[in-house]
Amino acid sequence: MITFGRPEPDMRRAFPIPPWIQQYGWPFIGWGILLILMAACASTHLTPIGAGGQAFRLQDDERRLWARAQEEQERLDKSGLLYVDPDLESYVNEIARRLLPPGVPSQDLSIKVRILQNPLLNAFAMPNGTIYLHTGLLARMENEAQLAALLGHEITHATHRHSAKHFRDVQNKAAALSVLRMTTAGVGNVFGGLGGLAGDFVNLLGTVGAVASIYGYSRDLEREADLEGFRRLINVGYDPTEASKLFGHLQRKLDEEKDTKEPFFFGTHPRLQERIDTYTELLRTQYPREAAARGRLRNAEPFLARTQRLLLDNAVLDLRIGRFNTAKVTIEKFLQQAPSNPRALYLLGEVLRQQATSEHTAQAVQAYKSAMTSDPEFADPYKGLGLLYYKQNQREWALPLFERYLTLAPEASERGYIDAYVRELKAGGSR
Amino acid sequence: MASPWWLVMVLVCLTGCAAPWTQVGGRLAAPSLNVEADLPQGWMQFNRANSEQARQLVMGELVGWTVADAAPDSPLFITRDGALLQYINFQRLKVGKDLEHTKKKFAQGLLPQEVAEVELDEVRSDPKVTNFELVENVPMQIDGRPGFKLVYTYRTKAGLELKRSHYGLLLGEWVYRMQYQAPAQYYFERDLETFERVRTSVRFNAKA
Repeated sequence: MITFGRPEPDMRRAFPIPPWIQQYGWPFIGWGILLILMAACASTHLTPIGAGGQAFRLQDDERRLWARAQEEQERLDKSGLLYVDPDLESYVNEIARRLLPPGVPSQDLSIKVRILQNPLLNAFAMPNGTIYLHTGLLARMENEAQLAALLGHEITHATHRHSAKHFRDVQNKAAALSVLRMTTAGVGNVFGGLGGLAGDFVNLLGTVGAVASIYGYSRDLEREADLEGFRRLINVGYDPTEASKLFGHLQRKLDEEKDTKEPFFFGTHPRLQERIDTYTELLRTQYPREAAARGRLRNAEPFLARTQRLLLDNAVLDLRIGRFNTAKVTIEKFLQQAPSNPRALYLLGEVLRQQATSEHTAQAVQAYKSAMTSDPEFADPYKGLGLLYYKQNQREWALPLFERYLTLAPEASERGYIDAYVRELKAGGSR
Repeated sequence: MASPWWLVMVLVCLTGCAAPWTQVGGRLAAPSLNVEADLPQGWMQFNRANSEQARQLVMGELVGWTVADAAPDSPLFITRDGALLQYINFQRLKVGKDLEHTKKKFAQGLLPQEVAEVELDEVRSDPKVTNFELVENVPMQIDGRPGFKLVYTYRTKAGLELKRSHYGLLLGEWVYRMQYQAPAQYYFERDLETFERVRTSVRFNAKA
């Protein structure tokens, strides 16, 4: 029989319990554990960067978090996932700059906003001040005030050192758990437990901060980010009612689209509801005057103009992952601003064609034809409509469309397929 | 107390040490895939009997590798020097089945061009794939049947650039995949000819 927890008589001979433990017994060990716990607990109280004019100095664990963030950033920068639109990037960064609290020296924290090509709802701040916004989140916003609300929230994560706080919090809990494990594992496991503890801490460094920034912090830290971000939003002059509108809007979109489960912080119902609740409460209790004030900044037009191209690029990403509804909604949002844009009409045709129902097919034909009318030199709609007719065995309609496509796009990557269809159709074949 | 304990440990170790790979070569008949092909001498086949162990041992973060434990669409997976240096993978997926990264599905009646598009979307939507570049997308006859050929490169999260040659076709209710993947530098070209020999030797059974 094998027993755990209590050393066998042979083990007692191999690892004799010291006389002082035999004399003072478990109370002494209890005090020892408490001392270890206290020593292991790092303070989660960290002053915000720039607060009270104090000089900012990175602490050791924080420095490692920043270094890890830097590595992650370098990987992201080289990944080909950054969305390249210099105008949009400088616009977004300008808004972030305005939202940064005045007391934060730029040498201490440099806020940079980057956009990632990703259709999922997400934004996160690295501890060193680099903020990543997903195209999917930007595509669902309606104006600059909403963007500012989100940026204010993320900037606060960086200025208030939430990564380091969160890391220490997890570290402290891990220490407590480990000590608890030591107490239950018996004398023989103490050294093994300490070794494991050190290993766990090493593993935690660099990972916890990054994970937290993507998946969200504790409820208290998120609330602090809401609070401070909101204050900055109001100080800069934006309409504060847009903050809760943004998250309410995201919630409704999640309900309407239901295409794919959103895995990130800003794509989960409870987290969005927390934001809405906090902002509603703030408006009611602390900022009723600002909530009622007219003429505060929303800036819908400049925002929509700057994000117009992004809408279609994000719709392509949604189409790629098979979120037909989401892609369609985004394209329709674009078409409200530019109803005869040939690329948008073509993409709408693609979304409808790929859904492959008779109702969608009829609408796809219409969208392709509108795209051709808008720009007769744009090749892609000819391919889309040609494919549609080819699959319906409407040979006499498909052939001229394919030929036109090949004339307009002689270097097209899918030329081989279209060439083959043309040969087949000319030879009198049908599917 | 000691004897039975150590005996159990030895037996556990012996079971765990069984090789996950076996040598291949010659004509392969894979009834579960309805396909036959000539396999290269000296390459090793993934041994499904130890799938869990082999998966941990060699799969790592390879993209596109889905270990299908259900017999009908289990893949044939062979390599000469290890899966990170090259592999050839035969796989088939049932029409309508969920894919891993895109919600699009294969459907009967899709053109080879459309099947290729779904395959590309599946690869491009994989969050582990970065720096994706399509090199080639052309129609291709496979055992006299209309299919497609894709060639693309991408990088893993660790930064390794991989190149993949990917043939496929829709036959009845199945989409067949034949893929060869190796690091883009040096290794891809080295074993490409071997893969092409295997690929051109593929024959689908009449009922496929």
